[in-house]
Amino acid sequence: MSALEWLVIIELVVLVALVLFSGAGWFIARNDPDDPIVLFCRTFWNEFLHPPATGGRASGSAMGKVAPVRRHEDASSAPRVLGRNKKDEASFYGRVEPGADGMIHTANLNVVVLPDSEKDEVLGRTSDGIELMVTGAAEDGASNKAVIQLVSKALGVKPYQVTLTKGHYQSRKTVSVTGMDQEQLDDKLESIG
Amino acid sequence: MFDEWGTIMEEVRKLSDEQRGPFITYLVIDGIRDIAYYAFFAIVAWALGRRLIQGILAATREASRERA
Repeated sequence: MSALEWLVIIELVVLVALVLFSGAGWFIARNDPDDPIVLFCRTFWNEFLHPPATGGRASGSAMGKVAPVRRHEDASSAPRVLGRNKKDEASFYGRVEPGADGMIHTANLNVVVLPDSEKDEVLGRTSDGIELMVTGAAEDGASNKAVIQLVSKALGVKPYQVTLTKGHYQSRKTVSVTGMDQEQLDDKLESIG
Repeated sequence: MFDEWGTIMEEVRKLSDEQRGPFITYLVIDGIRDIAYYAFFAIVAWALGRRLIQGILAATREASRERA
């Protein structure tokens, strides 16, 4: 047998193994629908049966085919299944849309955090970043989670675009914001005031 | 493969003119059949492998994100 035939056989074996794995996932899903194994199986089959149409290929694919579009009449009642809407999909997968130059930029922002406060709120700007107050205690990492939520809300980006890079155990922290260059970040900060 | 091809061509040279024509025709048809067969397997292997790899990567990413 040629190498190509072996390759197809191996791929089919992997596919069968994944079918069996999904069977196990189906049993697990009855108890815990958010189990990582269940999510793995669900995402795999979604990706396998309806691969996302990538940017350049969608418009001018050689085969002239684009992945089928799944629509839910009522988005709020839709199960947690990927829509083929590009925005939903990017959000689901945690993808970041590239900028006009086709690059994905990252900007750093310095944050001063006041933990154990009355509420989660952006206090305003500092000389090199922003100041926040959060309800979570500094020790248990709850404040870091709140910081990411607050920064993403303040900048109008998704939480997965914000990563805490420095100062995990300090009140002065640095976060990196993906999908935004330093200039755009400064513009956003201007609007915060 | 090229050794085999060389051997075949040697054999073709030894054949008489009457035999050479049908033999070359057979050779060409056999070649086309082989190419079609392997092209089919190549397309299947590529398409299936691509989807499998993309699916597994995306699923792993999602599962690890959920675990985190």
